[in-house]
Amino acid sequence: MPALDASLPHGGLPAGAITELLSHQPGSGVMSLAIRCARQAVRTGGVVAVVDTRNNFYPPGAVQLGLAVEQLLIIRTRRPAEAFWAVDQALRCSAVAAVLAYLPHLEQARARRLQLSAETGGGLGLLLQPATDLRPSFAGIRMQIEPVAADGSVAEGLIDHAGRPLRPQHLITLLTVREGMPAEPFVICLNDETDSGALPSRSVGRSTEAPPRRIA
Amino acid sequence: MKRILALYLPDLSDDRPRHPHVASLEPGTEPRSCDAGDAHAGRTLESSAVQAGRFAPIVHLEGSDTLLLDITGCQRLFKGEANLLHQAVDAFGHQAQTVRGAITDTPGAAWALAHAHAESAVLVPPGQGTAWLTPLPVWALRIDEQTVATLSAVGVEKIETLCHLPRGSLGPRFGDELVQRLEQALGERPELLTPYRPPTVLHSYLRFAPTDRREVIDEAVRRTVEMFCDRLDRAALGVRQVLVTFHCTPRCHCTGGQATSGTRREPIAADRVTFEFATSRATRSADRLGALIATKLNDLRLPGPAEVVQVWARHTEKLDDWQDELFDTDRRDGADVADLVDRLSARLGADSVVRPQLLSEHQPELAYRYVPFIDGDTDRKPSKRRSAKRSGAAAYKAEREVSRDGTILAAGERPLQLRSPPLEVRVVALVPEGPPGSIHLDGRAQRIVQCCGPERVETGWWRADHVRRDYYRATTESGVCLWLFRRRDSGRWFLHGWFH
Repeated sequence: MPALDASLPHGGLPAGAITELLSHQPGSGVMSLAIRCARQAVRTGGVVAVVDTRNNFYPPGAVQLGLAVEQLLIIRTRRPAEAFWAVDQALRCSAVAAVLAYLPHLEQARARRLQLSAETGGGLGLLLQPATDLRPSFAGIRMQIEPVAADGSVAEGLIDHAGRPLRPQHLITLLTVREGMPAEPFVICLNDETDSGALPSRSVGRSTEAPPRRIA
Repeated sequence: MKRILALYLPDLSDDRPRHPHVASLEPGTEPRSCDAGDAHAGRTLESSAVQAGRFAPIVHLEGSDTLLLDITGCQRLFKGEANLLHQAVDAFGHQAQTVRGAITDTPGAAWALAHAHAESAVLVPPGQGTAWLTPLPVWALRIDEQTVATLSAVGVEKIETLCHLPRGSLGPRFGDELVQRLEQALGERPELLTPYRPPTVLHSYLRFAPTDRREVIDEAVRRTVEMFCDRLDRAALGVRQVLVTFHCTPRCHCTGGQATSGTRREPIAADRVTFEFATSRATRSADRLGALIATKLNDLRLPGPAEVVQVWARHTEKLDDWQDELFDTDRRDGADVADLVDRLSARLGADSVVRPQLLSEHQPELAYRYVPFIDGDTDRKPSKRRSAKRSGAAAYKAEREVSRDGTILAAGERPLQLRSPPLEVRVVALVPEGPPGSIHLDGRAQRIVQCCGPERVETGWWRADHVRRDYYRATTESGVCLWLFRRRDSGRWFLHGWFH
């Protein structure tokens, strides 16, 4: 996704590291973003390991977004300890290109261990977490993604890189970036047809000083 | 002078046991593949062959119902051939089987007498085999039905008649096999009997002083697995399914390390704890098996101090030299995934590590199913193959629909997260039977600003719980994208999933 890559240091999500994706509720765009990132990661081979703790992963939806069934490895766990161990093992495996998991309330020590496992395995670790959990983390990149309210002022006057008017749907805020300063929050259109994100034009980007944060 | 005993057992069952009933085997004994008194083994030719091993060193399986035993020199042990014959017939007859036996000079003649002679136990004195053979019908020579039909068409019914015909003309007229069988039966051509060797069960065990300590048990397991993999190595086999048994002395009866019961010194039956696991590909790597056993051990509670650990191979496969795997990255990656799957399955269970399979099904929650990544219990292979073929066809059809330009043609857009079961919500629709207008979610009413639909999903009325739903993809004013449906029979609204 060129728009997202442009705002990240090194032009993309870091391989061999953990990326945390925060959101307040399901349906806010976090799963879609995670699957798109996983899809990019698995282009060079390997599998995507999905640790399904809440038992609500829907494979046909993932297949519609472009993941193949042969590339999916689903791990269903019942207890948080099992989920953590499964994520750890999957991150260590070099043949796993991306790991997707929902791991709320991750302690620092555990997060550090997952970071080390990701470095061993070299794959992409995508941890979905609730946005209320704003502890300092070891993640390389931390992003919060929220859906854009339909009547928000953010929605006005945006054009994509081709110059067409855009109706954004999701707002991504980069909370922490390991190297460099976090870029300004930007809106992205996880558009199913064109499947690309779009940066707002520079003038609008500057005018949104504070992102509309939702308070749970 | 060669003497052959033929045993004809017409009442054998068809199922062949693929592996022994392992729980009945004691440590320290080399397991045999079947026991005479083992009720679990079917009465098959192989099991009968093992049983017949007490009468002769060479037991040959002929066809699916006859054993040929080379009893040359064994008569003394049974005090004469008559006794041997009677003992053999009795041994098999005890198991309520029909047995017919015959002793003569050649395998062919023995087979013929066992199958075709009027009496069920025939003992032919040495040298008189031909005289007893000639009155028998021609099919007793072990020839195929077509040749028998051809012979009866020309009026040759008995072996006697066949002997009178010029031998040179038999070959061109009826085939060389007839000549071969005739000469073998008459003793003019030798016939080789290949002895039957029951398959050995690969098994290793280690006995040690009863201990509770984890490090001792780990070391014992490590050594047993090494011996086990050594045996696999020598046999050039890899194992797919492994059974591990721990023999433990019950804790409450232990006094000072020796198991006693009160004042009487009685051996207490050891408790056995057995678990098994499967691997996704055949392996004989001691590290991998050791790691998988260690993972299982973490969750295992032994009822007492362990004193024996046994490792059995339940299902093995030929495994070629795997050294070239080091240079093949694709296979190494595949091996990595298999490794990961094995480790995860060992701890979480084979049903927890799955891959999805899309099904051609309209009801969304049934449009897919999970299949264990590991192939699982190989005993059920034939039926599994059948069901795999059936579901494979459906899955292939569904996948074909999916793979065409990346979208599922048969269905509309599908959400990424599905709520199971669907949650009933309060929705206000502007028009009855129309799209949703506002939804009561998270304790407050939210207006729906955008809506796509309806997508009508109906399953067949012949299904017991058939569904009739109208699905809508709705975006609320806060930007959340939901998948709602209304049941057409009751008009109630449900939240079924979330997009994005």
